[in-house]
Amino acid sequence: MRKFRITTLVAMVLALALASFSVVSAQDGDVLDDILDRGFVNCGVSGGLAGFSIQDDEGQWSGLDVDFCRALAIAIFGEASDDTLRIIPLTADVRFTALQAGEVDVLHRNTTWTLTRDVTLGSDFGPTTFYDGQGLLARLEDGFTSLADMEGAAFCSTSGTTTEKNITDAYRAIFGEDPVLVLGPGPQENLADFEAGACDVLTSDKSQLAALRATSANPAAYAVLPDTLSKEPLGPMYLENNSALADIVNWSVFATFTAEELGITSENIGEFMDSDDVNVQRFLGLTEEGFGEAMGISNSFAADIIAAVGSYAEIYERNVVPLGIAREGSLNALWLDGGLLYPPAWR
Amino acid sequence: MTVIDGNEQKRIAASALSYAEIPWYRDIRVLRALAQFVFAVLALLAGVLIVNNLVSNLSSSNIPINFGIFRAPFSVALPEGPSMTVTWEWLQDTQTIQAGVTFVYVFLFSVILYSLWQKREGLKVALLTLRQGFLITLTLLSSRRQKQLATQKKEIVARPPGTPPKTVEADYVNAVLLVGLLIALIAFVQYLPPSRMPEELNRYLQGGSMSRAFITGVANTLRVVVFSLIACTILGVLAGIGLLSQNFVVRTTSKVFVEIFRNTPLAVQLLFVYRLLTQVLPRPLDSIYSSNTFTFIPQGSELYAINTRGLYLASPQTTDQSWIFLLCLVIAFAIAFFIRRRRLKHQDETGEPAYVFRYTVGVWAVAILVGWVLSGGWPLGGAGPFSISHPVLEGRQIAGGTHLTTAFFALFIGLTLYTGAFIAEIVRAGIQSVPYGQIEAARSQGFSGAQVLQLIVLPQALRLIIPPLGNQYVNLGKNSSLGIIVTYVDVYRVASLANNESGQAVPFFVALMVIYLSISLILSVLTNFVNRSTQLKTR
Repeated sequence: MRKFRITTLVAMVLALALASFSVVSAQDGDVLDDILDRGFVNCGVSGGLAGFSIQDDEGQWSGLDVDFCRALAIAIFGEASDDTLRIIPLTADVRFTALQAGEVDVLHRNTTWTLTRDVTLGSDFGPTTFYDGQGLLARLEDGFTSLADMEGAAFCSTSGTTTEKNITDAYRAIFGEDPVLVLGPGPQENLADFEAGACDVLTSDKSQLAALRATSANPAAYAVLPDTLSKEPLGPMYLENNSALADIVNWSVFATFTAEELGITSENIGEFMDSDDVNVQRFLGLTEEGFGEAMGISNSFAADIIAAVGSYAEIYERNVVPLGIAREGSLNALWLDGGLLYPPAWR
Repeated sequence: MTVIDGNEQKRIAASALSYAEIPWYRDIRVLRALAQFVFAVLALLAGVLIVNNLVSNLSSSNIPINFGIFRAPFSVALPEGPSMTVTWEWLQDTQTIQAGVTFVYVFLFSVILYSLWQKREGLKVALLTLRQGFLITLTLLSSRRQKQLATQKKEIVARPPGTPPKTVEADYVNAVLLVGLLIALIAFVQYLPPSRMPEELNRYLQGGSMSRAFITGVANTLRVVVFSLIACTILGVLAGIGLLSQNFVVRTTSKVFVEIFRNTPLAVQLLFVYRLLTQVLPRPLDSIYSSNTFTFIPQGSELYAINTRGLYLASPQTTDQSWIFLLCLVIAFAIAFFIRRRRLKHQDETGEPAYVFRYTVGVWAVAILVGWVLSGGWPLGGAGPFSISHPVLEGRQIAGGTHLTTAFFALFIGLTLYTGAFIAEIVRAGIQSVPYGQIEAARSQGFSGAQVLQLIVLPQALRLIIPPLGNQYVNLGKNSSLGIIVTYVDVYRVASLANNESGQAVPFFVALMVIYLSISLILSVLTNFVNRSTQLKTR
């Protein structure tokens, strides 16, 4: 009996060692191959953030980040359905670990592009899909006009984001001491703390603040202040050294920018199908150049994306405008309109 | 013809027996020792394999594992706990570190020696196996003479029949683990950034380093664990006794409390308490002060203030004379202890009442008065041993006093209620396991209800209560990591903040596991110690 037990233990330990090998070897492969084998894309989003990724009563996802997840699934599999795309909500704390562990293939999770994250997380960033900046949401009754008025105020912030570091830096720069932080696990908890009075000011990306204010019980009592504490370029993130996947993610984003440049939308795309413009023909995959094939996907991937998801203008209109964040004159306008969205040449 | 006497006959018989002895490779004691050795080597190899695998795979995906990351700056201002910018020169002094390391090695060495002494039978078997192996090799190579020598081995001291085999006690394993953790701590200290650093770096490290942030996190975790541990024990014992009360109201109240808090998830309770507190309490500008409730307290010297940020208590601050007062208290403690022993001895000898309580109170009262006067307080008109720091509103927040945050309270209350409910059931079961005849016997001897409980029931119940109680304490320690729900900045939150800042999950979560393991082991070693001292000593 005793001998048997020891043998079992040894067997277990060896099995564990072997298991760790097999787990690791699964990670060694190319992520795109894994996606193709599996038959669907795992896309990490925030979840519960109006305008970016939120689920309705029937479980349908919508939002800017979700639309880019759809674009990726369409680029790879030609359609975005429950079969080809799994949307996975992640908290700020676990998102990078989930990506590293291969739980998600790509993060479209309003993640700020920073040097540290780019270099130390074993991952790369794709093109920025939304230019944001950190702002402050305050009660009108408190009479705050900017951070300079807020000595001694308590700040609600989501733990595991860049916002808590930015507010610490900005507050120290003005008052020379540490701010009081209330670090909640997520934006909804931050809002609950803010509404209950556990903190005086809620700080986060401005788009997020607008979304939270819109979903709060009494939006008229709060205002997003004009202060911008930081640059927050939000974009997709994927594992390092996965160029095949990176290309598809990047160009599925650029497709929505380019469509806007060319004036193509999901509604009028039919009219462009017999266009004489060679740029339009290239974009829609009607020429012989085979851009899609070069990436291992369909040549008409851009056309498919635009037909199903729409151009960037449509995506923005559908998701972000209802939050009360205008696009005109902002950084998120197309370069032709004075914004920062500038897709590389489609040729 | 030689006459063979009885003794000679026995000797021959014994030597014949020794020739017939089983070979070493079939000796179960040798085999056991060998199996243990092989198992230990395999386990070690497997461990090395797994760790190596993890490290090389992570580094191949450009995620290096480097414990030096603990020196990196930590740029989030933690809302509570000891300041991260305090410099601990004594800790960073090279000599201190060396002394610490030496101490650990000496300690470790003594533990090994002690454990070998404890397991000397096993050691003998091990040595014997070696000797046997050596001798057998010799035998194969040489003459019959040596073969004889080889088989005449020393007798092994077998354990006397009827005694159970010694098992590796939980405490022994725990102690060895704790030593390992101590070494981990020493290693951690090496990662504290130097206290004398260039001005520029100092400014850069304004928020402190990762290692300091971890220390703050550990301090916060320990604080909430210690407070809740004490509170839940008191609450649990009271509710457990209440469950068996003759009084209907007390019994029902206890039952309702236990059933509610034992049967709902802790996370839900925590969130409920936290949301309740933040919703009900006013914002800092409208704080509730002690003078609102007790009108005789002057407004400048509040005893407490309450708002959404938490509770601010007036707190004593040490002055230059504090040590005199504290010295008096220490002396009083010694005197009270001495008097208690004498009085108890007196009681044993004469049967007269000991009056320990009266004497102790008397000694302490005198000591406090003397200490106060000596340290320059009343009637000398000085500041006395302590000055009081009162909570005052300054700008948008309360300054002064001791601050306990809402998050701390939510976690403290949640852990206390939840664990208290479980402890109540344990106490009830322990008390009910004492035979009712004993209570009846005590009653018939004229013991009062309280005396029955204190002198007859609880001492016997305690033996059954303590082991499961230890489990609850360990659970409490681990459950404190749920503080993340109520914005409490415990060590788990610090680890996830540090992870987010640097992206190096492995070093931080290794540290986190080591920390929680230490807390749990210390708690279980302490409970085992108490457990052993309350057990019946039977032979």
